[in-house]
This record gives sequence, C-alpha cells and structure tokens, in this order.
Amino acid sequence: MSTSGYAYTKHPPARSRRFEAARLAIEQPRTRARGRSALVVNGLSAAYDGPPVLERVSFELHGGELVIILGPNGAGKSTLFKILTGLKHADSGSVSVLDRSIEQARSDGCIAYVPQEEHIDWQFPISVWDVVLTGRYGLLRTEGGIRRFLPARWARRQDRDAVEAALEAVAMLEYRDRPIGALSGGQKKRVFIARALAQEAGLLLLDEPLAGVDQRSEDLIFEVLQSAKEAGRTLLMVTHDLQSAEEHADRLLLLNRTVVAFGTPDTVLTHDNLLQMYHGAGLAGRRTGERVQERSREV
Amino acid sequence: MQAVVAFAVGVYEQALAATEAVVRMVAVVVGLLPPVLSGPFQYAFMQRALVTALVVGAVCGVLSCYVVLKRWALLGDAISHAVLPGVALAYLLNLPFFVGAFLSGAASAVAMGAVQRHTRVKEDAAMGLVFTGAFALGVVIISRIATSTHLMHVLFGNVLGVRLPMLLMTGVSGLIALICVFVFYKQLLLYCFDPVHASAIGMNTAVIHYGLMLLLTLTIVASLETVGIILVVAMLITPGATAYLITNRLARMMAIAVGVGTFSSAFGLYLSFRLNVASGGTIVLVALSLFLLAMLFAPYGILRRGRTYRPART
Repeated sequence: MSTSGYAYTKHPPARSRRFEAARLAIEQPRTRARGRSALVVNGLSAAYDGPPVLERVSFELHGGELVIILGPNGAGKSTLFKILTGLKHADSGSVSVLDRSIEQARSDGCIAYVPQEEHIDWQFPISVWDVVLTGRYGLLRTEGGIRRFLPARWARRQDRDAVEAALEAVAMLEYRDRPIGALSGGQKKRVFIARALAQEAGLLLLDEPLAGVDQRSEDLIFEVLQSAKEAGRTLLMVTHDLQSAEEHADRLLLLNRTVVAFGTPDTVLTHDNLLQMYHGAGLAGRRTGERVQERSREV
Repeated sequence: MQAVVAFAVGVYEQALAATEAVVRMVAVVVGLLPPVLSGPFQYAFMQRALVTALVVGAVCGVLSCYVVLKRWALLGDAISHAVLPGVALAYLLNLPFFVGAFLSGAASAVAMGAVQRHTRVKEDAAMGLVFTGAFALGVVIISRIATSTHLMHVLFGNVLGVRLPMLLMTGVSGLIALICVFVFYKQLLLYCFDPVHASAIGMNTAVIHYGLMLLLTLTIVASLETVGIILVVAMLITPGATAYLITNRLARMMAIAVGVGTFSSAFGLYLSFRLNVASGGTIVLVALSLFLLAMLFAPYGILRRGRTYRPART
C-alpha cells in the first residue's frame, strides 16, 4: 500500500480561487465570537455517585483568547469537558456558548474537541484524511438533497478543500493517506487540531494536547493555536505543563472542584493559589507546603 | 380494509415470485461453473440454501466490522442467545418467528443498557445476566413444546430446509440492515471511532448506540435459519476480524469482510454437501480457516507485523 499519492512540496503550487476560499473559511470560522463572550459558565455543579466534582463553577471566556485550565487529578477538568461535549449532564447551573444554549451550540458545530491520546483507538482503520473529514460531518448533516445521506466520500468539493487547507495549516498534508495509528504522538495531535479547524468551530476544547509531544510539535501546535486565536477562535485547554501554560495562556483558570483563581498568569500564579489548588484549603501541612513552594519557585 | 389486505397479499406474492426469480438466476450463474463445483447446487433446496447463505454472509460481513471495531463480540453473543424466548413464544402463538426473535432481541438489548445504567453492575456482567436469563427462559418455554426439532433448528440452523417465505424474510431484513449502514455510515463510523466528537457536534450518541444494537439484532435474526443461534456469533466476528488484519480503511474492511462472509457461506455449504456434515458448522470452520490464513500472511498478521508502516518522523 502506498503511503502517499501526494508529493508534498515546501512551496505548494498556486491554488485555485476556490481553494483559497476554503482556506479563508477555515481561518475565519463561521461561528466565532465578535467581541462578545464566547463561553459563559454560571454556577455549574456536577456529581457522579458521590460528593460533587464540580461545585458552583462560574467563569467567562472572551472571544479570541486562550485560557488554560490547571488543576490536580480529580479536580473536575474532564468533568467540565464532558459537560461541554454533552457526555454528562450538569446537576445545576447553566452554560452558554457564543450566545446559544449549549445544545444549540453543539448542533450548530460551535464546539470542537481535541481528544486525549488514550481516548482514541489508534488501530482504527481510518486515514489521516478521513479523520479530518469527520470534522465536516456536522456541516454535511445540515446539507439539503441526497448528499447528506451518502457516505462522506461523496462530500462536496468545498468540504474536501477545507480538509486539505486544515491539513496544510498543521503541516500534515503529506501524511494524508497514512493510517492514523502510523503517526507520532505530536503528529496525531496536529491531525486532531486540523479536524477542529476544518469544523470551523468557534470554541476549541483541547484535552491535554501537549502530553507526549516533542518540542518541535509543541511549538507548531502553539503556532497554529495562535493563528486560530487571531482569527477569533476561543481556546480552552487543559494541561499539566505549568511552564508552557504560563508562557502561552492569556488567562489561567485554577480549578479544584471550584474555581480557585482566574486571571492573567502573573496575577494568578501565586504561592497561596497553587497551594490551595493542589492541596485544597486548609489541607496543606508543612511538608506539602514545602513541595508547593518549590513548585511555585520553579514557576 | 379488505382492499389493503388484498394489496398486501399481492405484494407478498410478487415478492415471493421475485425471490424465486433471484434463486433461479443464481442457479443459472452457478450452473456455468465446472460440474465438480456446481454439482451439489442442481437441487432446488441447495439453490435456496446457497442464496440464503450468501445473503447472510454479506450482511454479517458488514456488521462484523462494527462488532470487531466496537469490541462488541460479547454483545453479539448476548443478543443472539436472547432471541430464543422470542422464537419460542412466537412458535406457541403461531406468529412468524422473525417477529418474536426481533422483539426479544431488542428488549434484551435495552435491558442490558438499563441494568448497566441504573445499577453498579458493569457492562460484561450486565450482558451475562440478561443473556443467560433470556436463554434460560427460552429453554423453559421450549420444554413445554412437545417437539424439540424446532429448538435444534433455532440453535444450530437449518439452511438446507429453508423455504421461499423464509428466504424472502432473510433477504428483506438483510436489505434493511444494509441500507441503514449505507445511510448512517458517517454516524456509525464516528460513533465507533470518536464518540466524544460525535456528541460534541450534536449527534445523539444514545440513539446511534441503540440503533447499532437494533441493526445487530436484525442481522442475527436474519441469520438464525442459516447458522443458528450458537454459530451466528462466529459470522459476526470472523469476517470482520479477518478483514481487520488485511486493511486499514473501514470501507475496504467492509468489502473484504463481505467477501470472506459470502465465500465461506458458499464454500462451506458446498463442503458440507460433499462431506455430508452439518452445514452451519462447516460454514463457520471455512471462515475460521480464512482467518487463520490472514493471521499468518496478512499485512497486520504475525509474519508481516510491524513492516507495513514504519513509524513516521515528525
């Protein structure tokens, strides 16, 4: 089986006007916040079979900013993402995305999700190209005529152009025919970011996109995210990497069951806040305190 | 009302005639093969058996891809056992057994989901509970029925005794299953590959989940006559597993699985006639041999594993 029928060149050939239109569509998502708030979470509480994992969480994201969520394991980060992607119902509180209800936002394709590495079956028989094409499924569904009932290989020209443009944006076009499992960790992340771009969503949820990613891919990812931001997309990212969080985030959200602190990195990353986030208020003994002190000194 | 009934009867008779025509066409095509191969298929009962087996092989092939990718092998086993009480009740009430089988299969699929969702019991235990319970219920009901040949047919299949109406039902349910897979190809692909994304773009994953379960039930019910309850699971796993070792695209995987399914159906039927052994079991054994070949020689098989794709550089 050939790995690629496409010869990638450093300088891609001049594109047709139609392709340029698709590239622009990718850069300027249909559903973006225009100076409004992109995500409003108000008094959100959620629990599984025990005590609440999220308790009265409220915060607001502006259009076109990168907010990074920091928090220890079990802080409710994945629960928050589960509520936003519709896998879990909140017990109370409200969420609105780009001035719509969360359900409406989902079916309008406003929310794109970049999954954690372990949530995907990497041996699934699917190519890089087809993975990115799944980003267009929401749009295909709204289409009139017979095409919405056909498998995606009969997608419209503009969908295929959008996929190509998105793959080009993350420098993965030369791998378009690879099976998704035959990529390195960083490349896999880039493919899923391409899918989010192809979806033309206004709000991107990134679940630990930096885990298991080398420096080169990390730089490339932040480059892509930066241009997505400039195009008016809003980014909400979970990471455990304090250093790159401080470096790249517009604002940081420290989460441990509830919002510990929310603001720009220099105001939020204080010793007290980190102590409270990692150990909970009142729990910090002397030894854990020392460890956190070390951590905050590193920061 | 009478007009409606008359119309329905008319449609049914037309459909039967069409089915017979299909059987004749297949018989003509088979007749072109050398006599060594076509010999067994000069009998009408073998021709009907062949067409039934081909339909079942194709439909099971397609669905087996989802079963393998979604790791639903145990679920397939569970649903196939759970149709038994429906078959028994339908027999007692003098209904077509398709109806009873489909209803009890669907009901147990829902019951499994309910046990899992509302109790602490995990998925595998929920399946085990429901399918052994339903199977036991079926055995108890059947023990009240005087003759047990019917039970043997349901358990092990009776492809050589397929009559035209049964073949028609198999064909119709298979066709419905295939059309559903074609129309909802995108949804099913996305649900298997990345359900979180499916949910995030507003697809109703619960509906897709139960829809796929219903499709599986439909396929199992369509295959009961050919390979029976016990062996239908093999046809729902082996073709997909074989294709999984050969390719890395879902569409190709489905095509290969259909090939494996139909070839093992036809060749298994042929062998069972020549060797005078049970047809359902022979079909499954042919499919298994194809899997063993793939396990050794396929691109993702033992002998070539790791050479198909070198890890990509960044």
